[in-house]
Amino acid sequence: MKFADEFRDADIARALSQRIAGEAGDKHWKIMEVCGGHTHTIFKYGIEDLLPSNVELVHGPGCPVCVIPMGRLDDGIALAKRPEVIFTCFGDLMRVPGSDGSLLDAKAAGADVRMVYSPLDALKIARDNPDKKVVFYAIGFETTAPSTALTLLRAKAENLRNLFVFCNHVNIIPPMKAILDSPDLQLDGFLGPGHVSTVVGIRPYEFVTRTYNKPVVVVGFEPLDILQGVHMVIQQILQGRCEVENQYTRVVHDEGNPKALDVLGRVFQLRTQFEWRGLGFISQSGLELREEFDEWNAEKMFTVPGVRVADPKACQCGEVLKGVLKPWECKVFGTACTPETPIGTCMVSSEGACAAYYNFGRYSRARERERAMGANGNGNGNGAVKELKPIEVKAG
Amino acid sequence: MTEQNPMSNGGFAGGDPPHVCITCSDQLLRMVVERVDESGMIASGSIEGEPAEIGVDLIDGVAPGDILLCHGGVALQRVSEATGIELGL
Ligand code: SF4
Repeated sequence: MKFADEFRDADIARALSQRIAGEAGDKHWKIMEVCGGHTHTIFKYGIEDLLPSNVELVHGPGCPVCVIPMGRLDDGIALAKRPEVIFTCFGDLMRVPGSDGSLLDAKAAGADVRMVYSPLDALKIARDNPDKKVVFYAIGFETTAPSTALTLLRAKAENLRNLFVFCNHVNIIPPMKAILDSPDLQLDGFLGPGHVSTVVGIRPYEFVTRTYNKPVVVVGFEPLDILQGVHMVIQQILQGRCEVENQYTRVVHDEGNPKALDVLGRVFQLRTQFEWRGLGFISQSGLELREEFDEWNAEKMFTVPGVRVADPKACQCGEVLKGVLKPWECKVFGTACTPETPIGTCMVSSEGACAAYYNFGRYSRARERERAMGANGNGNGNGAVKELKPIEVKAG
Repeated sequence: MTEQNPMSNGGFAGGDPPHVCITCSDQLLRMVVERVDESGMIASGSIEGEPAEIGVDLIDGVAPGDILLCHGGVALQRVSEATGIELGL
């Protein structure tokens, strides 16, 4: 395939879907997509409608905003409220409810909270505001951590002393292990994260095949990437293979990006343990700044509450993040908890399973009903349609 | 962050809700390089038709015309023209 729309070709999607249905047989398959970006594509293009009902996609913990525990968020909000601080973070984080309001609430109350696209933007803000202390609240997996690492290396090279990083970067491998160790969920295989793998390559997933005997297929973000990934997982199992395969070869190299890995190693070290929302403390799952960067480390240079805070009682994000509950099975889904008034993190980011389900799922199900009645719906299952289209999202 | 940055919409790349969080979506955006500064660490070009500056420390020998895949203001991968088209990025 050469063009983007070919990765949305409805004829190929139908052919793949038929092959999956034919080969899946009667067994109930559970395949976890680890990455929030995949969850988004699955809902956006109605991929679940193209799969037989016995092939279940389970949504994983790969949404960085979703896995931030409330205590760490409260720490960030406490930093943001300091009068000498300009607090910078990525957009979605601003709406995540802490135990006493969100960063947006803190901003409304007068805190200097600024959304940035890149930590390098925080570096610029620090340069431009030498009389202020600029804190960057770093979150994200291995795709995002290199930009924080480069920012710190530049700050150090410039001896810029008014930039501080509150580091919440996490690694994708340890939660996969935690999920595999959990008795709650019996998975058949994984769709591995595409762009994390641009940095780490595909070898870090080998423990999943070696120790747990589950196949991993690293996949891209177009609808046909996902369908092909599902097919590759099923084929591996039916053929008695268990490997890490790379469906996304057009972007992901087996060895990742060695320069990015080198930069990560120079700036970060593994924390002994880090708390994940819903998954608890997972050993060696988070990154912290190396000692050489103590003067840029917000955790060392400021006092934060550092208190572990339990999630609201009604919130079942933990079960959703582990794939044990479907979003709509949470008691407050779509009622007390909506994207406008989120109770849990999974409803904040559009890559969170609850927000994705809320925004797209209801239409996907409506389409299924329409199709059963012979109507044309979104067209993803209609033989006359040539390209899979995103499902239209409507408010409410 | 510059106001004209296409991804400066609060870190969302998609405009109106439901937007895409650049971090959570694990997305890479395509930039065609127009210029590399003297330090060799910053490239400017366009992302989704808008001007943008990107750190290129992690890619060797970036030159005008290169197609880079970027995340969080940093290029993580160089791709060929053909791959860039294939990706639709
Ligand atoms: S519906 Fe809200 S509270 Fe329930 S799991 Fe989803 S985000 Fe959490």
